Amino acid sequence: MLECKNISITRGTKRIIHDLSFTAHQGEFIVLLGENGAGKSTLLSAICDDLYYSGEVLLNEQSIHVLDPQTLATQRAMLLQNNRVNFAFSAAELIAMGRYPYHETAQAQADVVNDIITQMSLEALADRDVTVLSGGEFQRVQFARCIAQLNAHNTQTTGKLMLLDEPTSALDLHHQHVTLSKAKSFAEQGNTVIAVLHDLNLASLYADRILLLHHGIIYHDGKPQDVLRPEVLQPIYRAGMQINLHPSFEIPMIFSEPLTGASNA
Amino acid sequence: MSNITLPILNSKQHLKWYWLSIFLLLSLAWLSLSSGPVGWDWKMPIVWLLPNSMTTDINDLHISVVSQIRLPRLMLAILVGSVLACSGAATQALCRNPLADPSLMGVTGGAAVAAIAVIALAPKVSFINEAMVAPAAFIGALTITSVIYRLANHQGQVQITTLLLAGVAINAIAMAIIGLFSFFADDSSLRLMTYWQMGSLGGASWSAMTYGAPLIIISTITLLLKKRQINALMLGERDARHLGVNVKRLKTEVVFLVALGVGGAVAMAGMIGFVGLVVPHIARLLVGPDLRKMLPLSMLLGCLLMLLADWIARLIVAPSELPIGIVTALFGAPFFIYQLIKQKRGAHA
Repeated sequence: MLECKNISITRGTKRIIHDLSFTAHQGEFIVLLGENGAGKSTLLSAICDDLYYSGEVLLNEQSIHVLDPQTLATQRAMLLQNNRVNFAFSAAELIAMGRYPYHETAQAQADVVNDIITQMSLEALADRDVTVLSGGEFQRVQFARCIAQLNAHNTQTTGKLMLLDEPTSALDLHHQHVTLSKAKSFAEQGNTVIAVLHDLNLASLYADRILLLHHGIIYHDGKPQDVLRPEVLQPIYRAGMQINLHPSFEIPMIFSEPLTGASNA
Repeated sequence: MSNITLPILNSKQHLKWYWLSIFLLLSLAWLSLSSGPVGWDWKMPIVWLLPNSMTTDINDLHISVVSQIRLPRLMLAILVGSVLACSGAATQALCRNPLADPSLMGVTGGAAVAAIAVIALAPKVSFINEAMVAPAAFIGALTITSVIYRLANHQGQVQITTLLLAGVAINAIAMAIIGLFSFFADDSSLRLMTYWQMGSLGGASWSAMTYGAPLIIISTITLLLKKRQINALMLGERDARHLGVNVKRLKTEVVFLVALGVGGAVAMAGMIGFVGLVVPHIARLLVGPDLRKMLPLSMLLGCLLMLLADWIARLIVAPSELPIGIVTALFGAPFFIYQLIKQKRGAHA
């Protein structure tokens, strides 16, 4: 369980996050939505203690500051966006880096990595140099590294926190679903997943709960069908849209409209 | 059961390169102990082990040449080669860029300025002496490493362009200051300083080594012990921190250890460039970038390169000898240019 209490973040004179509080429970897949600059990535950075903030972040009722860094690393992992590696590690070696907080034998580590590669269908990439992978391939390997870090390949793992900053931004349709399905099932087995997404329909398909951020505050917090409504989204995204129910799943699907005339300004 | 194997993770392939390097290193070590201006004799390195009947042609002078000149020189080459390669690999991990190198960043220059200041001032200022060269070189290296790293680091990302440009500027300042010291130095100091600037193993002696060697040994052993943490640093500062690495402390330690190693190397052998750039690159090509495999191989290859360069430096203009820094620069600088072109191509791909 993650509790964020009165988080405020200021950069220079600009306040990015303003007195933001929420609790993410075990089993929840939470999607952070919001326009560019709403503070989504910054909020994830604060939860990871990557930047200075006021307020408190509690993981399983303990402040993240009192947890030993390596223990914390086994409890919480984050997939960063746009984070390339300049050294020619193989994909398998990069995934194995996720095992850094665990002190295990080389064989045990190889078994875990092997298991993850099979689960995530990364066999074709395992031996490839990560510096020459495409953006999408690299994103899949980095996601697999987060899985290794949290033991997420194991269906018995519970009580952990996975933070994903735009995990599907470079992925094709198939791999968008592979990644989000894996994250969803990880949440369902008793963990917490918080993902920043820009695709509202993916959010609708996978989220248990959506936090819509706007100017550093939680503008709306609720189930997809409560948040994904034209009167909520249009002022934020400043785009015309229609929302219909998905014919099979009965969840809201967003059909956005091109900007025209005055609204283009 | 899956049919996937992960040859890279459990492979012992890297061991063959270790054994090959050790074999070549021993061969070159034998060669450098056996040959020199007083002649060549294969028995020299093991003269103590041979029966008297086989060593009738070897006199005390030969033995003293081996024990007092060639052996310290060999040890110096091994120490300097391993620490320069190790510092290069650690600096590249710290900066997350394979083009970073203590000599290009001006760290070697900073160490040399401090060392030369001590050499130039020693005859003139009574409380300054030879024992201060190594600590001075360390302080010079530490100052420059800290300043450059701070200059080039922006929100956890190291800007390689800033790093290299700052290196150019600092090297220019270092050369100017060294020039200034040369201008005021007496003849004996001047000769020493010239050799210092170009790098040489010629000054090797057991007594000189007592001041610099501890710095080098502490630096290499500690870097080797921290290779797992430094490995994680190659992913980037945030990722390393998320994996449980105390990044702030590790960065300070790496800066300190690199300065310690480079300071020790410069104090004993002067400015020897490009070893820290070329050797880790070759090691990465052979066993990949994982420091757990690459760092020990880098150290072995560093020793090997240093012995080879020293051998070339002594052979090419025998009976005189070239400063070893000239040899490493002649090989290293074109290699650096090749790397730049390769990176540029990569950026446009």
